[in-house]
Amino acid sequence: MKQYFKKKNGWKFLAVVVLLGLIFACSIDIVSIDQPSEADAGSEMTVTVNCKIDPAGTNNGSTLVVGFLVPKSWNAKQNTSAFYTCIPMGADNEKMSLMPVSERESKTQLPWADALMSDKRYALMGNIVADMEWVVFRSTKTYDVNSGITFTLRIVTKVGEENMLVNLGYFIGNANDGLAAPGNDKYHDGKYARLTVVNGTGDLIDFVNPQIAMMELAKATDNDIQTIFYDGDLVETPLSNESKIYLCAKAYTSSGAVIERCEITDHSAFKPMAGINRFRFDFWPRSYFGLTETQSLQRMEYFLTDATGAKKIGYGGSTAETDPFRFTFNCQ
Amino acid sequence: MNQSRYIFSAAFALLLLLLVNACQKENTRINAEAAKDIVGTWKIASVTRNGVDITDYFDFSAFRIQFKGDGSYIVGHEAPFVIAKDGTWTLDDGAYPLRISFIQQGGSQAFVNEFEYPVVEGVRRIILKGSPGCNRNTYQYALVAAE
Repeated sequence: MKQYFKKKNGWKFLAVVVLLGLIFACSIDIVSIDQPSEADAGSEMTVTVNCKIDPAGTNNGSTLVVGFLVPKSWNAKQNTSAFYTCIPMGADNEKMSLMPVSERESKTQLPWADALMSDKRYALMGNIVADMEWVVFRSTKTYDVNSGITFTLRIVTKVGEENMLVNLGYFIGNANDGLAAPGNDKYHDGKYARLTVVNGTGDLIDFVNPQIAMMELAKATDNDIQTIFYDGDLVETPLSNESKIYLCAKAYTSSGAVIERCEITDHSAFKPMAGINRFRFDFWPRSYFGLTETQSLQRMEYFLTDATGAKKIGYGGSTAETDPFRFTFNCQ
Repeated sequence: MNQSRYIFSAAFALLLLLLVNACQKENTRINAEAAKDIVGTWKIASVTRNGVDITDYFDFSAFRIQFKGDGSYIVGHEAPFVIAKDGTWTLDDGAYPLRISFIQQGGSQAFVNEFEYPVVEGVRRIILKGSPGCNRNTYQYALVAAE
C-alpha cells in the first residue's frame, strides 16, 4: 500500500486530497444571531443574522434562500419582512420576497417550507410542540459568488400575542444547491435562538421543555378530541413507579362556572402506551365535563393521581395544590 | 380412420361455432352512473385526527347517524362529529358526490364537508372530513353501515 502512494499513484492521491479540500472549503454558515431573549407580546422585533460564504471556484447565478421558523399563531407570512446586506456584492438592505409555493426545493421537489419541515436537520429546531411553520424568503436578484464574503440578514417580525417559550429558527441556503444530503451539506446552515414572550395572553406555552404531561393539540376547543400524554420517566415524581394513572381535573366555563371531575374510575384512567411508563388519556371535553348546549370551556386545570388518589402531581412534577397543569381552550 | 375424421370434423364445427358467436355484436351502451344511495344507519369504523389514527383511543362505538330518504338525518351524538344536531343533508352531485352538506334543525348555516364513497375490502364506506372543534384540527371519519 505504501508503495502504491509513494511511486506510481502518489500524484493522483495528492490531486484527490486537494480537490476534496476545495470542495469542503466551500461553505455557507450562520456565524451569529442577534435576537432578543425576551420580547413583549404584539411588539415588533428585529433580528440580525450574521453569515459568511466561503466559495470554491465560481458560483454563478445563486439565489439566496432564507428560512424563519416561528409559531403558526404569529401569522409570520403576513407580519414578517426580510432584508440582506452584502456591501462587496452591492446589496444594501435589499428586501427579500416570500418564496412562492410553486418554487420547489431541488432535492425533495417539495415547496421550500415543507422541505425544511420534513428535514430532520431543521424541522422544529429543538422545539417539541409541532405548532410551528417555516416561512421562507428568497432574494429577488441572483449573485455570482467567487470569493469569501460576509453578509447580514435583518428579519423584522411582529411577535405573537401569546405568552410562550420558543426556539425561533433561522436557515440560509441557495436555490441551486437546495438541501444537500448530510455529509455534503455545506451549502446550507441553520441555527436557532430562544425567545420568551411576556405580557401576552394565556398561560405560558412551553415549546421547548419536555413536559411530564402534555396536551397533544396546542390549539383546541372543547369540541375536539384532546389527548394528554404522560411520561413517567421524564422527572422523578411520586407517580414514577405507579402503573395506573388517573386524571383529576377542574374545568372553567366562559360564564364562570367550575366543573370538577376528580375520581378514580375507568373513565378517568390513562391508557398505557408502547414503552415503559408512558400513558395517554384521550377525551372529549364537552362530554367529559358534561357541558350543556350553551356552555363552553375557557380553560382547565388538572393533576395526575395514582389509584388511591393519595399521590398527586401537577406542573413540573410539583405536589403542591397551587401547581396544577393548565390548558387554555383557544383556536386563534 | 373414419372415427378420427369424425372427431376432427366435430371439433372443427365446434370451433367455427365459437368463432361465429364471438363475432356477435357487443352491447356497447354506456350505462349512466347510478346515484349514490347513502340512506341507512351508519357507524364509525375509524377516525384520524390531523392524519393520525385515534380509533383505538376513544370510544366511538355508540355513535350512529341515520340518513333518511326524505333528506333528513338523525345523529346519535356520542362523539364529536362534523354536526351535533339532527337536520337535513344533501350531496353536491348524486352520481359523483364530492361534498355533503348538513343543515342542522333550527339553523340555516350549511356545514359542508368533503365526501367520498369508496368500497374498502368489499364494504361500502362513507369518508367525511371536517373540524368539529378548532379548524386547525382536521378529522377524517370512515363510516360503515351499522348492522
